[in-house]
Amino acid sequence: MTAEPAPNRKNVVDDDTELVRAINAGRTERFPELVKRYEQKLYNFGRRMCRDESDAEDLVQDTFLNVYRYLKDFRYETKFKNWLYRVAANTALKKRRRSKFALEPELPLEELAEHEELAAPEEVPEWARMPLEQVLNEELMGILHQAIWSLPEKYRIVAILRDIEEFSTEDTAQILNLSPANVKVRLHRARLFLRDKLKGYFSHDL
Amino acid sequence: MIFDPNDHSHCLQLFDRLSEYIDGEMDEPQRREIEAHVAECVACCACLQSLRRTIALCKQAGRQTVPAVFSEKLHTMIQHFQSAR
Repeated sequence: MTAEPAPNRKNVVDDDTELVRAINAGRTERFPELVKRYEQKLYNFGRRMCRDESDAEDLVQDTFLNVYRYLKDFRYETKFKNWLYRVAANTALKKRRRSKFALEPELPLEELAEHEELAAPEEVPEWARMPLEQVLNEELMGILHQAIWSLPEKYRIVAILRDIEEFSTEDTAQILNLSPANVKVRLHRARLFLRDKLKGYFSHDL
Repeated sequence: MIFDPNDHSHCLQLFDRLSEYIDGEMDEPQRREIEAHVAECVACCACLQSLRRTIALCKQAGRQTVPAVFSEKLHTMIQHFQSAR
């Protein structure tokens, strides 16, 4: 049975609505269209979330299987893409919890504040002034990916959704079931952490 | 507002709001406050620019094409799953 929005609930229509409604109305042969539409995006999401390529592939597979299982429960009250990423995020977080039991470390803002920079003002560092195309290279991208992977997961997922997948703060909050304020705090800490890692790369390089 | 270069308490207060400023998620008075401070404070200006650059690099992080072998495997797996239900 197709889930319909309850009275007075917002009914979101987006580019996926027709396809999702068709699948939910019984045209399940169209599900591969949905897979085709999102496999690239979810593969890249998986590659950012998982260090290991086979883990990323497992994440994509498990996400689509969960989407197939639970699509009938989608209530058209959010963008389908947000719901899809929520399934992917939950799949990723559950996988990690199954494999590790360590508590996620926090990133304290005080440690990320550059005390030395505030105490001894300096000019804008050269790496932040150079044209982007001059600093971009394969090695730097490798450093950036390592830095992203080294973020604690709860910060990593926010940084990926906001700065790589380019979801809005509100959409990210909806996907992760967090408040927008919480998304902003985690994002800022993640960015400061990444900036610190990148600064290290440039201080050796320049 | 007169900025005292030796008073960094204001810097620390603004430090945790720089992302909101970059993302355009601040109201006008807050935005003006940050801009006035950054125009006077070399350290915060440096911090803002390096944070902006970090975000720009993340946005250029690059997308990989799904390996054809994996895509084929994924679609086959979905087909099997559908036919089994």
